[in-house]
Amino acid sequence: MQYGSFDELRQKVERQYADAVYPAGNGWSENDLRRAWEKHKKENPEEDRLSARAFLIALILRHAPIAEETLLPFAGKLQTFHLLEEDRQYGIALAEKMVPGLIHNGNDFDEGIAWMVDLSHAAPDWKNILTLGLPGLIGRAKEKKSSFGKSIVTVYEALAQYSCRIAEVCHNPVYARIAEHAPETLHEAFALALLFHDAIEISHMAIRSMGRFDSLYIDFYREDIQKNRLTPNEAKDLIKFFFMTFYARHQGMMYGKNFCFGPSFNELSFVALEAYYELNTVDPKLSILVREDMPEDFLKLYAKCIRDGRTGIVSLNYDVIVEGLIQHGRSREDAENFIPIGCYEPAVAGKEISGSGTTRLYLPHVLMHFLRKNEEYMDFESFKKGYFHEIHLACAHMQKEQILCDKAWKYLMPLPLLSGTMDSCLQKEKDVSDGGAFYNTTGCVISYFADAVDCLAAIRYLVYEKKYCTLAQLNRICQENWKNDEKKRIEVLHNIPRWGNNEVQSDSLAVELANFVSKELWALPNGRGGCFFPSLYGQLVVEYGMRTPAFPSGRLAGEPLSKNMDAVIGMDRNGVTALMHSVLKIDMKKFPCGTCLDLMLHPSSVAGEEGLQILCTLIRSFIARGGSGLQFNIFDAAVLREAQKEPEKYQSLQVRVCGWNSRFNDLTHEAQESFIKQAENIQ
Amino acid sequence: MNPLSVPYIDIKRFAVHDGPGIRTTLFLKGCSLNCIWCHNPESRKGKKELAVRLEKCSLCGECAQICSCHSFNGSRHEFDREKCVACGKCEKVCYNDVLELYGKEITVEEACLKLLEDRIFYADGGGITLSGGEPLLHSIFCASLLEKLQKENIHTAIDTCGEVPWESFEKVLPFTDMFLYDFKCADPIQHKLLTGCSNERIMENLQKLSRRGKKIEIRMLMVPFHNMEEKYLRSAGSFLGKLNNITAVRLLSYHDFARNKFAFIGEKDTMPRVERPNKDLLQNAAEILQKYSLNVILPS
Repeated sequence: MQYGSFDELRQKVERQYADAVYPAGNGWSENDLRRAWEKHKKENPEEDRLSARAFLIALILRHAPIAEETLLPFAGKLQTFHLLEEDRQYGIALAEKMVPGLIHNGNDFDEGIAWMVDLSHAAPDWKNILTLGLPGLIGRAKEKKSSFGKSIVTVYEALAQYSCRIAEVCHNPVYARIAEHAPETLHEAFALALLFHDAIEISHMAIRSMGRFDSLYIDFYREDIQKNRLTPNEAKDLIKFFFMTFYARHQGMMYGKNFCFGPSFNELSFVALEAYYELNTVDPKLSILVREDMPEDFLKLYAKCIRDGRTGIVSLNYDVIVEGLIQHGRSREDAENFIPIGCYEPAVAGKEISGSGTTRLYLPHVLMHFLRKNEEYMDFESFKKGYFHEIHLACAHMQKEQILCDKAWKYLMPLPLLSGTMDSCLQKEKDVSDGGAFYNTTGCVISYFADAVDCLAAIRYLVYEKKYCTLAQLNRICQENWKNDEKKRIEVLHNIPRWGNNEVQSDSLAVELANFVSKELWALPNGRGGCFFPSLYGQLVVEYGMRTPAFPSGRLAGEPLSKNMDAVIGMDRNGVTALMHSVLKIDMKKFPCGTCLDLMLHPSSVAGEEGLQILCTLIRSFIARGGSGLQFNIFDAAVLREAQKEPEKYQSLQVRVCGWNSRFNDLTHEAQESFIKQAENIQ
Repeated sequence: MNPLSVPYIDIKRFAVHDGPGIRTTLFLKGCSLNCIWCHNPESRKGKKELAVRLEKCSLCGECAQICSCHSFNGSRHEFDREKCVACGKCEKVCYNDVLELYGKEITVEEACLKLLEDRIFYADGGGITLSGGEPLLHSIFCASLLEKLQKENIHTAIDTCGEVPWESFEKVLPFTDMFLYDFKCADPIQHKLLTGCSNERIMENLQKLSRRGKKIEIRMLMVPFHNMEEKYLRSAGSFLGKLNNITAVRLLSYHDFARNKFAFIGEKDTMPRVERPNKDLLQNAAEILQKYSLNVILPS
């Protein structure tokens, strides 16, 4: 098919979802769709939840109106009239009925725990999709005679029909071909991936990862080049269209879409990373699986992206993650096949449903909860033991709530479009919501680590070394937001050892805390036949900070919490290398569900060719010593202040927020301030 | 145990402008020049001194309770520098980083431990740099420290202004991989105006050093209207172009970020009130120097 160049069409590409028009005539009206759905439910009152959901998805795919889009290489947008969303609400009510006591999305800030049915951290089996294609996936599902098998056939046949409808409405023959056979060209492969992605997302599972890009698509690329179907530049343009379609769908939203590169790099890795550099976009985001001996030229290209503000990239230590996954129970072959299914969270591609954001443990909040009990302890060691026991209790409570969510998932939201791609679901004839995946783990995000470490150090200093106050008095001081104790607060801010400075006193507390929490969660059973899966990072630090009271560490109520494995903002007084030393003391393998460290560097420290080498050295040194997730911001505080004053001049200024990027202009004032404060610390 | 210790002002980790790669730089105290644009004026005197950053003061009054050099007059913190003996007691009770004592002593062993902390980042040519002030005013200390570091296979560099007896160079030469040699101005009269000292010995030492086989990177701070005139640059080019082992001439762009530091230590602000040189000016300077077959590196 013919389409224009990316540069000419960029604006159209970016606005394709916002500007989509659904003309009457190529699908059913809302009334007709509703009537058909009601009729089906009436005629099948005893139908199981999965089959009913599959019917509704198929109804939408076959008959909902499609946006007319020509001139673009990728198409396919549906008008769903909220029918799927209404069914989701029905699913919640059903789940609450079937599983008494269920809270399907709980966030207990006081106790420091959260849990939910995580419908946003998963990926289908991309390899199966691209090698079997729709006919292959339908064929193997047809061999299964259970209602599960039938549901899969229902949704995939409908998806194939939807693809044919796109071909007709949008005059795009690529979509007719991917309905008929497995993809044969890069264009077909991208179109099929996008088709699956969008269909799964409209059926309420947010797909975070598009898989290992360079290994999934290299054969298509090579064949296109070899057969003169594409030149490398045309391929690069096609990649730009593909990448930016995700941006178009998700712009303004957090989290982003992940494309993974490595650990083996090929010519497509380079073409795609160059395309990403040229796009200069906040989304999609990339994960690069790095190894100590990774090729210098690819590392340099990655460093160039970072240096020049394309910071939507996290590097993950392939070998450390593989070892961590093995220790947590994956086979070596499976572990080697992981992809990040969230910001930094590894899971076995096509085999694992971890719901990496399913549960969260807010470490300093647990500590504050413990402090509020007003119990006194003779010495710091006893206090620490008490806190660790409190963590144990919090985990037990979280587990109890999560097991209810696990049991409820199959009522709440079966996912046939996703499940049908996974071999284990076919073998077990079970949906992923019913434990169909091979590995059914439960991610637990252990959050705000630095705050917890600094709080422990502060309690040791205030209560046990200086004996300024009792624990009960300290609790009162925090409740009063240090109102009458500003001098003491400044003393604490200045005097206690802080996480992130390569100081033994603080780092040994951190290692002890990290080891304890990891062990506590490591083998904790969940409700889907698997166990918990610990990670160490913290997100939504500004948003949740605003809801969090003052801490013993001197942090005031409302101030941002500490991000990922970073120091508390402004407390990494010895610079980035000391921060990295502290972080490297934590055994990343104990957190196989993901870790991350953010480094903020001043542009002058990474300028020019020499600057690229500095970045490469930082990355390599971190990897060589067992570090894993690493991401960057390159900021000058003065420039950020300017951007605040004159946002129109800084439209393309990007910020690595947590595991995703945002335009600086799109951040809230509070979030902007937190970045500026951090940047001022590195002047 | 080596009892040798020297006053220092800072140990900077992740130093990426003091030689190749990622480095740790030890800034020693005491200097033989008195440059009007000095970026580290707190490093010039050899003795201890207290920096007072009044704009950070919360008026808590803790320092006044420890030492009578500090007093509070309503909403003002007053400091009697004449009386101060730089004992550093007040620094310990100041939690707002208003007070900082420069010139604490460090021994070779202590410095060695500190400088080795970041050795995992010294791959790709990084290492340690001794700077100041003028580090070669402490040449015995430097030689002893660098010898230890070289035994650990650490790349070593010295950032010097060159205004020291040649014997000081001789002491450190066996243990130094690279010299960062500051070159302020080729004209001796202008040099004296800018630094308080003529440049004969500096140029002589550089000539001698260039015959010793060690890598030398020349560093020229470009200050508009002070040392960027064509005639100065030509003389510099002509002199440097004849030397051996000059790996590069790195042009550094003047800025006045350090202006406040003069007030912090109670000294008169002598920083030139000129703009940073623009790209064209720097390019022009580079082109003049390149005519003498020099490898000129412009600021990124």
